[in-house]
Amino acid sequence: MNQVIQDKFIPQQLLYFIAGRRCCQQFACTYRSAEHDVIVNCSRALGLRSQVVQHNGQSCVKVFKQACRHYLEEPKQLTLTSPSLTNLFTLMSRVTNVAKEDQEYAAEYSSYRISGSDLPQINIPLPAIRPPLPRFKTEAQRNFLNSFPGHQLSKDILQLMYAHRLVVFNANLSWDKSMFVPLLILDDCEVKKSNVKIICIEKETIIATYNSHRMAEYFGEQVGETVGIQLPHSSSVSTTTHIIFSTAQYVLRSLAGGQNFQNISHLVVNDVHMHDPYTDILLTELKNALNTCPNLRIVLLSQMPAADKFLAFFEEGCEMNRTEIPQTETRISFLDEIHSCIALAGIHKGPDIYKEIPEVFRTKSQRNEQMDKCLQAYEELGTDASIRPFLYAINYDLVPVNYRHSVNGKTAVLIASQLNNANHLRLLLFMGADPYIVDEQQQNAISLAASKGNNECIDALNNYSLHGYVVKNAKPDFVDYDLIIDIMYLLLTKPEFTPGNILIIMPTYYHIVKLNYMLLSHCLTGNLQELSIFLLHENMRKDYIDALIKARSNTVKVVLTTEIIESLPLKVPFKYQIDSACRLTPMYDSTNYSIEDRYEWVAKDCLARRELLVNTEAPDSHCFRLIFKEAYDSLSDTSTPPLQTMYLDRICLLVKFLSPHKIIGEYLDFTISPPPMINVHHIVQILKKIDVLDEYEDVTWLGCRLLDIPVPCQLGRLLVFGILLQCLDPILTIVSSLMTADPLGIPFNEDIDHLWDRFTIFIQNRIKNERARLADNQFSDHFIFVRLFQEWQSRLKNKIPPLHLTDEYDFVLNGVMEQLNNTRSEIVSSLRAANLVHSRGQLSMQNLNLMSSNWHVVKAALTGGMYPNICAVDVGKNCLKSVWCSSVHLHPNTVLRDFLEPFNTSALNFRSPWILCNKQRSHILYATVVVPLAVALFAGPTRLRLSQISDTQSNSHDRNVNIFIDEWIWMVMSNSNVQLIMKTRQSFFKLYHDLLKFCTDQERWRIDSPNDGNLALMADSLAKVFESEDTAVGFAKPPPINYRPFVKLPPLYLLTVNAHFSWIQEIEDSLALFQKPQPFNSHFVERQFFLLYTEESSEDFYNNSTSTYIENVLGKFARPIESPNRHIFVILYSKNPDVMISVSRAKTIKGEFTLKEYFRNCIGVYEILEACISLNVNVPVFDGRLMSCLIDKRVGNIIMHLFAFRHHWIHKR
Amino acid sequence: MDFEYQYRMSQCNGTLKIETRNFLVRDLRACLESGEGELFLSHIPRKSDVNIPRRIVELASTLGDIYALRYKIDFSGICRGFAYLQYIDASRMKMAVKCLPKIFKAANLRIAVKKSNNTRELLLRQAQMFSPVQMYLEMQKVCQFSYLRVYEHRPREFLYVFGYINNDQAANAHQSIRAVIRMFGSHAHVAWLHPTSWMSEKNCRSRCCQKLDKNFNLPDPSKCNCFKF
Repeated sequence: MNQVIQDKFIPQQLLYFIAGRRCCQQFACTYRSAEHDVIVNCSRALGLRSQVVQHNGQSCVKVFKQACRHYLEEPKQLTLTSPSLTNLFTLMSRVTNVAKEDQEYAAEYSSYRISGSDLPQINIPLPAIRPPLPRFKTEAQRNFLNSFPGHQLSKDILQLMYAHRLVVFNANLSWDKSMFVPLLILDDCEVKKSNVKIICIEKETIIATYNSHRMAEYFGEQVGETVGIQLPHSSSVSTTTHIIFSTAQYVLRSLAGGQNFQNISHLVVNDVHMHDPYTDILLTELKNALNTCPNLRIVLLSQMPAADKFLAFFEEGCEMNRTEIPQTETRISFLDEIHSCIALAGIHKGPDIYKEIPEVFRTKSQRNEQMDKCLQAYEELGTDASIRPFLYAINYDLVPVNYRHSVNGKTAVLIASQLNNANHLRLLLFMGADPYIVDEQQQNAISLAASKGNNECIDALNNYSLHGYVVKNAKPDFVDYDLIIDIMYLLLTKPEFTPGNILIIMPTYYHIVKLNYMLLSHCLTGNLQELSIFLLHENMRKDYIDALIKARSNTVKVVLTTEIIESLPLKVPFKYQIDSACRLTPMYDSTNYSIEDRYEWVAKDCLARRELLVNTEAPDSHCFRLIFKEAYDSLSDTSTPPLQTMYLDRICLLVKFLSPHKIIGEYLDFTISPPPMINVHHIVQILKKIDVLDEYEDVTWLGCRLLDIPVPCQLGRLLVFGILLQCLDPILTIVSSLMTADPLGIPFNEDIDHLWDRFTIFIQNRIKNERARLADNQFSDHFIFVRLFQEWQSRLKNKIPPLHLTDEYDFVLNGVMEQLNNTRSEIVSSLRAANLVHSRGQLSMQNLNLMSSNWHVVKAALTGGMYPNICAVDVGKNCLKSVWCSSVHLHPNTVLRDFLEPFNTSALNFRSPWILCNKQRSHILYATVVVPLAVALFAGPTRLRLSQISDTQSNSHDRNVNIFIDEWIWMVMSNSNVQLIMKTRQSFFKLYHDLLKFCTDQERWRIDSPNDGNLALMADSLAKVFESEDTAVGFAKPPPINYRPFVKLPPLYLLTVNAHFSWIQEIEDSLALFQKPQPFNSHFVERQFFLLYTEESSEDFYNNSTSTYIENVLGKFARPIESPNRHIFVILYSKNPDVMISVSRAKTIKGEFTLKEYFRNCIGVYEILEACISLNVNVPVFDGRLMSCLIDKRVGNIIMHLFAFRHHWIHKR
Repeated sequence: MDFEYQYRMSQCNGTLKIETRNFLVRDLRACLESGEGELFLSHIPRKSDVNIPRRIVELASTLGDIYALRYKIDFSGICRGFAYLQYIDASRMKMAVKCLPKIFKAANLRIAVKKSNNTRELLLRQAQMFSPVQMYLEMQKVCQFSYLRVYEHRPREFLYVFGYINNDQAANAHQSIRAVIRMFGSHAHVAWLHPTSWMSEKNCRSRCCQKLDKNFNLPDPSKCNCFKF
């Protein structure tokens, strides 16, 4: 028998393994040790590698294929410096409880099963249900009710609701169902004197807030009386409350906490058609609830006619369908039509300054040289192999496909056509190359192909000019800002488009902010008619909506919004709509275990719903869709529910609380949009790995605390480590930065607008340099987040961001930081709510930030928090090894590598083989190099078994020991070190468990609490240890990151800026315009420019100059020529060096001459002279002899434009 | 009598409020709203039990009709240890301070009772960005207050005391001011003004102190001129 196993069975198993998909396999420990040798020998014969590992105290064999990334060729060394050893010993001697046995320690934490009752309660139970008091309706209320489009159908709806427990009500957004249906039910119950409590469930917090306020306004009350609200950190409910607004996520959270559907008569779930993941889970819970609460009535509100899905899911109920397609007059233009329309219209956009900037001086970087070499090699050889380096640079190093040789100006596509290589030509065109670019000899790809007479090439190019394979906006990944601006010019300057409000739908907040600046700069320079800009997005405060609603009706409103507009019933008529037609979908890809933020086209039904947002009654309403007609035709009819594609970590955790006795996969399989099993399986494994679930899929204490923190589980774990190591502030910054857009991300060619896209390489290099400056040789991208935030904060000097504009980057940075601040404070409140941060004691904010200025500790906390996202450098194999079997690469974004730098060159600089990473697909976007000790201390499961340690050679004298921290992290160190590390791990993770389990007990964490003063002790000693380790490995001393107490900034920067520059204000200021109600058109406005000499900086000038001073130097000259149609601008000018520093608008307000600053920057006079020459304008003389002087309008205009369209990275010195 | 019939219970963020449903005449209501006869209950067990406030009201109502109880809770519904209680008849206060602890003790609740300070003034310091009149206008946008007193403690350096109707209002204002505190400069700081402070409402007896009229003019400039705009 033995012989058969050894001769036949084992080789057969190995052959199966080779044929299979897996990269490595562990053979069960039931094999005997004699058979281990057979496996090892046999696999060696088959070209496999093998290793004996310890699993649960027993040794077994693991077999790896050659390409497996889990196999570390040899264990990574860990040595400790003597100061670290001393510090660790001191720590161990001071920490109590070390002597506790492993067994005992395990028993303490594993016997208890956590359930919903351990969660902190988030709200008090709902008051008892009771009938509403009949009330008298005022005329206004009656009118309001009658104004609902569904008012005629009230009786039918109520009848359906009496007949069925579940009603699906389909109607357009304009029906305002989430207001109408609850009011209808309440009215009916008032008459019938029946018990009523309606829970209205919205998708987003902001929508719930907005709707509750609207409804309270209808009753003439405050929120908290008849209408209540229950949201995280804001709840207001009383015994007289009959309608409560909430979100699906929050309702599920309270269900998880053990509440049920008692005391609720009706549940109204809004926007079920969107299949928001939490709404989908809620539907499952509702289906179960119908079994236990027979009297519950459920109304599902949807905007999509196909309700069968919901009825089939609930197996009961009925539908009311009112989504008849209206006979709209709206004209819809697709991309092709928009392009021709703009080309025909002939838009005038003001002077083309910056067009003539010489390119030569911008193109002398190492990267340019390398790319030039690539192109030269290709030109000389012309083979497939010779174009490969160039293609690599495009695909992996963000080089623009239209890269021009810095000397002869040739592009790759031009060379391909010169070489008559049709295949290359096609490939490059497909990659988005532009054949119209000319070289130094004024030749372009088309003319060259024609002169060579190669038919295949000419065909390929002809085909291109017909269809335009891939132009910028044929991909959903990029939004064509230039085109949007062109459309805006079309709408606002061409007489065939009558004025009307404009709605612009963008995929993300970042896009909104960027477009906002572009619109502002075009407005303020006077090229576009002045307008009021409003923003709407998911994480806004209610003030943003209020500002839009309260805006005067006679202004042209431009609303920039994300897809939230689809569920926000606004009473603002829109005449035009510009729809980017794409959205950002977070995806989980189970084939390579990766998360990816992918841009996709939205589905057809979604576009149809967006079309209805346009006021159909307006005569020539127009809808611009930035998508080709062909692409539109091939879109799917409905979008995939997010539950099926997203990263399910928080969903899995929630599900476990909702139904603790079911397997997560089983539960999710019975939801309305079941996710693929493989995704669920993977996520559960990851959750087990990061200790959110234990090995039996039960929730751990970490999971219990993370439920209340609105961040992905991995980042939640990071916060916990930040708390444990007392460096919460930088960790908070890192976590919130990872959740918002990165202002320092390296842009693609397509991300840069047409004015500057010639300088892509230069801009990318500048940003890369900026990243390197911020990283300051710490080999960390996470450090950049911390530094960037701190620099931004200190630049503000604790004030709100100034209202003048500098350049696009500055504006976007302020906008992104506003969002980041918002996320930060939200996380802080949720940490407080989860009891992880207390108001006093050891866990107070001050104490948790004792180590915040110590980057060494922050790195250690990152290691613990980011586990298992750890890679190891394998210099021999020239690659990164990681837990993911697929290969990973360093993205050009990280500071760990330069552009076009081969991996082995960058790896030479790393001080340590361990790298923490955040990846998108297989690219490592953000990385930090950490010392081996950090990995040894904080990676791996919370409890390392002794079996994970084994002697290298049992009989040898060097007592070096192998330690397997998880299935692939393999280290070797001396025996004494191992013991020290194991002890430290044990006491650290004891603290970890204590914190998570007992954080609700405030008494335990008092400063003078006798049992444990260990938190500070631990953090303090580890700080010393990591500092000496970092120095020993050779990390430079990090620049100080000073912790400053958390400053709460008002999160309304963008709102204030837009209000500041909108012309509503201007009307209020000038009485003359008040009397003329007709729309104000800035095209009749004349601009006069004054030059004012100053010796101070702009900041000081505006602070110090008094009104009498302004009156003296400017007012008396400017006042006579000022009129409503003649605006006065003041340009500040300073000598040595000769620069223009600021542009502001001067106005007489209440008889006083005041300045309102528009732009502030620093523009050399020589640039102005150059611009004047290139635009054929008389060159002015700025000699500063006069204090103030009137300058030529055209020169003034040029200066204004130079300020408005400046590029941060190109012009910054 | 039915508790629900007699009282109205509501939760607004960190405050559980139990209020009488009785109709009160306007003067009486205004008087009670300004904190007349308010009691401060402390040492309440730190538990998340909704029945405790109810029980407190039930026990306390044996001495007379309750106007309102404001019971403070934290994020997870756990009591923060204190509450405010008011009788409709404010004169019950003295008796309540004496008797209530005993009543509570009999019901196995060890709650301390004393007269509430009714702290309802906030002190804003080091706000250098604005002149007093600008400050008045700006702060009205942030949160409504009933009066503003300005002290010029050094030349061009002012201390602002904002008075509110009651402690609850002041607490809300405290929160909203902290949210926008950076508007007033980098060192601006807002704090509660303790009623025993020399600047507080009761101790404010300056001979030359004058109230401005609606247009921010001094009614009697001849009387004093120690404060210029």
